[in-house]
Amino acid sequence: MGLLIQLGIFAALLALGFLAGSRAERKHYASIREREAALRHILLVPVRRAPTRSPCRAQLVCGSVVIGMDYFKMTVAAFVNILGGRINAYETLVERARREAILRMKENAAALGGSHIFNVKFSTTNLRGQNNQQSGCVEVVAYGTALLPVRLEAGN
Amino acid sequence: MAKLLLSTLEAIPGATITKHLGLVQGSSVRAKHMGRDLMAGLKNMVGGELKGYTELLQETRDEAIARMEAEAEAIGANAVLNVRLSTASITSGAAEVFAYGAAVVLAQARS
Amino acid sequence: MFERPPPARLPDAPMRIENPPVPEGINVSGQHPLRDFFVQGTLAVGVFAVCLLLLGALAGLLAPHVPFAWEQRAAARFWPQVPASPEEATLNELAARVAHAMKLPADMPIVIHYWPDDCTINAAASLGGHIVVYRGLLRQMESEDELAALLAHEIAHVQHRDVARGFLRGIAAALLLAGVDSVSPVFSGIGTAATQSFSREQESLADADAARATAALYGHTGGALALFSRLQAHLPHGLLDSLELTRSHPDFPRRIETVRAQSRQLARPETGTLTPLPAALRTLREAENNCRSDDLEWE
Repeated sequence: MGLLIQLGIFAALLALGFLAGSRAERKHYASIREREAALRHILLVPVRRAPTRSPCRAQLVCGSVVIGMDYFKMTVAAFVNILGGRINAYETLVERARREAILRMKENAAALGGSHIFNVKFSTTNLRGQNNQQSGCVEVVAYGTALLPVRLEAGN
Repeated sequence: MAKLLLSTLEAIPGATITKHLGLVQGSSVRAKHMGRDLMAGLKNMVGGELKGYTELLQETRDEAIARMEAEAEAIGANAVLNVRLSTASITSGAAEVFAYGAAVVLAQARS
Repeated sequence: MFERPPPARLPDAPMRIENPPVPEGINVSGQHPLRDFFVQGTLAVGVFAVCLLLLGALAGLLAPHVPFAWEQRAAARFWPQVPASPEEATLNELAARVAHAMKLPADMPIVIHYWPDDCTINAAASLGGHIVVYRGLLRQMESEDELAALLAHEIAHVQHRDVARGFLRGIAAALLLAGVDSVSPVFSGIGTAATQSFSREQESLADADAARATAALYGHTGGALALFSRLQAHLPHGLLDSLELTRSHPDFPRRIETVRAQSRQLARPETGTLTPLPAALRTLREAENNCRSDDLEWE
């Protein structure tokens, strides 16, 4: 009987994870697309040398986000762990996290008045939960240098 | 279609960048299967290269780079410069390889 | 959203800088979460179950080759030295007779340990030929035939090296489970189901041996039948309890049928005169029940 109760709880958590998780994902993607369209004027140039000689002020800008997994994704990942292969469920997770991090970096730059971000780099980590076996959440940090125009002094 | 040029350099000797098309990314998340898990667990006791995992990550890396190339081609670039690779573990069983770079349109310099 | 300052230009840049939108869907391959779940779930569960069963069968095959003397040596230090009681002496005498009837090899000595615990209605065979009988179960016995059937069942486990098998299987299952990132109870559930199915098989064989021993000692299998009928009457039985997949022993109807099949095979009657209990054990029923808890423990 203990086993049946366990299975019941498991099924309930799965359903909850799937329904809540896919809803959260849809809403997040909608928000991402909307903001990407709004911030299209901020350009990312992932090279180290800025192709300009005019005096600028360089400012580090970054955006980071931590996105958690849901029970459904973790279960599917456990299955793929046995069979091997690509984990589709996690791909949307890291993609969302990356796009969100880039958007936040762009928002940071926009707030400062910049329009180009150079040398964009990323850092991804996994923050594990308490139980070492269980997966925790994914953190993505996007950072770069925004070049802001400097007003020339009158004497120049 | 001509193959895309991938490089960790920012400037290719003998070519000029005519257009920057922004950031392109490719990522792939893969897991090892149970057999590799067990062999790796055993190999961990004696040490040495875990060939199974090396292969797994190579496949993942190839796929990530292929996706980055696909993005670059889709926006009309013919080269990706300043390519960076990053590996992260998502779960104790899965690893994500992330490749990103600057999509550009290169023009070969006429000599 | 936020103030949009006029975008700064890079007028002296030698190239144009653009920001074409990247098409979606390249980094996220076709997403069919539910289909993936069912297909991959079934495959994963199937592969895992097959590996578990194979490994369990292998462990079961290897265990009998471990010398019994090793088991004895390993088990020897775990048994406390309790003063001998008349009950224990009687049990050991009866066990010796039963072992003789079962043609147990001489290098597998049986030692019965009597545990005056009324909360446990059980008897168990352990490594090295040590068998524990709890008072909770002993109180239920009404004839020597039943007791002999019980002892024969446990002795059969020793004879078939079931304890060593279960031990090795447990290790194999633990190793396999360790290799799986088991965030869900699915895999531990499968592990349990697999080990229990091996266990049920062993129990059926032991039941058959018990029937044969009773027939050899008393001329009929009445003792074995009485044992299972009595235990069936005493066990709590709800709807959810009868899910055989999760239990380590077969259902009682099945166990009774095993005994009947043996009777038919040996051409012995199912009923007959039941020999009364040995003197030292007759008074156990009247002794005060020292179990404090309301629900009795049954495995």
